[in-house]
Amino acid sequence: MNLFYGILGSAALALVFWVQFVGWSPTSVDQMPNAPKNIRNNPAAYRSFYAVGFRGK
Amino acid sequence: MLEIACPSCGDAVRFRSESSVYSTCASCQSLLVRHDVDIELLGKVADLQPDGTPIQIGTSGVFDGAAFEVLGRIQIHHPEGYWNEWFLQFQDGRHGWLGEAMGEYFVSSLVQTEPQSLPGFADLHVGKALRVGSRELVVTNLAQARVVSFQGELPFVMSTEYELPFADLRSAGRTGATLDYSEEEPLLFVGAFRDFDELQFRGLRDPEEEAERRSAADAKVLRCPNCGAPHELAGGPRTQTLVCTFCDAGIDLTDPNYGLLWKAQKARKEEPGIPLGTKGNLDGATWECLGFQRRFVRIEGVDYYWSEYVCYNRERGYRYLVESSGHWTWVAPMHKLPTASDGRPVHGWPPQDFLMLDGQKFKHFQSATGQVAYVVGEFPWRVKVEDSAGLHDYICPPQILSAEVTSDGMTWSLGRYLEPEEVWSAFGLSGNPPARSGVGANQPSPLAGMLRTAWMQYAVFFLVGFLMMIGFSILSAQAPVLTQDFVAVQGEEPSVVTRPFKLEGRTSNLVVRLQTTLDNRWAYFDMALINEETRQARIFSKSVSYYHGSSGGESWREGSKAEEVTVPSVPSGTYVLRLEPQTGTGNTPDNLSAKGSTAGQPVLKYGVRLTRDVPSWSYLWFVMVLLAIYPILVWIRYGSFEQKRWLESDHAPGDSSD
Ligand SMILES: [Zn+2]
Ligand SMILES: [Zn+2]
Repeated sequence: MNLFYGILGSAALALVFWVQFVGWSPTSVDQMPNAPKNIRNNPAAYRSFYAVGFRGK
Repeated sequence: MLEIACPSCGDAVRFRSESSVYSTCASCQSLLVRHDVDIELLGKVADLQPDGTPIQIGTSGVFDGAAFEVLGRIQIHHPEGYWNEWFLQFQDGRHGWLGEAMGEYFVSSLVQTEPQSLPGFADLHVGKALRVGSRELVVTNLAQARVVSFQGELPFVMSTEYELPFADLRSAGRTGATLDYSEEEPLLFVGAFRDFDELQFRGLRDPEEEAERRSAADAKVLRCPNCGAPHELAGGPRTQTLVCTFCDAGIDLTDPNYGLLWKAQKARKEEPGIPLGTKGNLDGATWECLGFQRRFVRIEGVDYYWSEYVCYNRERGYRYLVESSGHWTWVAPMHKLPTASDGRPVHGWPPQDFLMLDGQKFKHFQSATGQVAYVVGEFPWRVKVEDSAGLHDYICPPQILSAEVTSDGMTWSLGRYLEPEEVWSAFGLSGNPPARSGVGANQPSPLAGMLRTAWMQYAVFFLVGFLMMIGFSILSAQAPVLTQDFVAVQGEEPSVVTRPFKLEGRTSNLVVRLQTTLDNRWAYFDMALINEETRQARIFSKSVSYYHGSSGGESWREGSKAEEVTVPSVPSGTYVLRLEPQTGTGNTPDNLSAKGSTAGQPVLKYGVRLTRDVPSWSYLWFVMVLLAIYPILVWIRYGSFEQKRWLESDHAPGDSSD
């Protein structure tokens, strides 16, 4: 019984548990407040701050 | 019980068994034969030779739950030394024999056989398999023995000039048999080997009393006939050969005149690392080192040497302590035979790839011809320098299964690896044991336990992780939230917003699946998940591309028409998703807002499907891959240790003869 490996493995599994529990994902997400209320009627009224110009493939 | 007066000396002679026809008078050693009530005096029997047996007439014991008493004894001499057949009377009236030689105990009884059903002595050879009843037995020893003397009551009597050709047979269990060719028809004795302790002997010979009697009887010191040096025999009467520790001459102790077997040895004198006469405690008994021999095998012109110590315990017999390149093995002779891959007791040669013993698999390690280079001390057999024997080793570390095969015998033994420190402490030796070099054939890998635990821990991690994910899979909602299709049209605003949807339950993820009709193009989706109450936006993106074609007659495809993106940790609430697609081919983005000739044409059809609270196994797989690194590293180190071990074997990696 390797204690260090045991602790490492337990920690790794705890991390997997936490990831599942809070629904974590590696997707990069930016949070922005104050999205306009009329967005459903006018989607173009809202542009995310970086969503301008060329974005390649 | 019948008690009569000895016609020779007048002392009382008892016949305890109805079937005893013969008895010897304990006082005057007259041999008496009983005819109903008359007693006939047949003369005196030859003297019994001292053979160090712990058993005597009157000793009682238990065999498989049946109590017995020893009534009589036949002492037999064969090339390996003395052996006794003790005549037993069981409490239930049955009779049997207890064969006792060199600390091995074999209880047997005569089995009635059909005439001509047993092979002749000349038809036997060592390794021949014979079927006896339901069991398969293998001939392990063939020899000519000679009856030395009798004692006590016997159901029959033989003349002491009697030659006794016999064969010993052993099986994969503790069953054994002896074929006795002293009469016209061979006699078959079938029985079982037992350990000394199992027979629960009582009334054994008192070793102290016996030692006193012996020292009184032959007070003369054994002097080497070559150099005159005095010797005391620690192995007692069981010692057959004494190699003088001063001049290396070999003395035959079975010869009353102590004839010389040889005067000098070719090899130079070697000092045993463990001094002869040293006593040690192993397996719960005390063993005395009596003899030492240096042996070698010649493989491809190179001689490999090792040392063997003969260790003796009066009740348990002999063990061998083997030392090779600083690696020690404690070897005990075996009563039973290992089984070959066909499940039959091992018989015949060449050696097998592996053998089984007690459910353990022993892999073939090496076969070679062993020779004796140098001997010194006491031996329970007649030593011949330059004796050679076929040696076959099979390993299951820390155990080693060895066979020593000559034309008239095959001996199997089981050895156990001892750490050098264990040997030094068992024999109370001072200083340090010789340094080990290389890996011993049966040296247990220090990494074997580590490897086993590492994989076991890994298996536990996997199981826990797997059950955890099963739990999440069962308990998570995996709720379809929304499905909506859109069409991006040339010249019109590309951004769209979905219908509002409700996300329920605790904070968890949201999987966004984008399904497109892309064909050799790409699309980039800028997305914002907007909470209708808090106006908080979660901004993320995903690109989708699908290309296909053919080059050099091979068709290829790259990417996919559909992609998924998981938005992490979204609290419950009412949301909308805003999507703003951008399309393109190669490095050029399409100008979707241009109102050219294609205005009003659909550019991209796509659908979005949202699912709430989706468990993902990929994190577990990722963690399991990382956690596998440690056991794999241990496994690699274990492998290199094993490689060093097998380098010394017949199966060295890269050896073409394998
Ligand atoms: Zn007498
Ligand atoms: Zn001598």
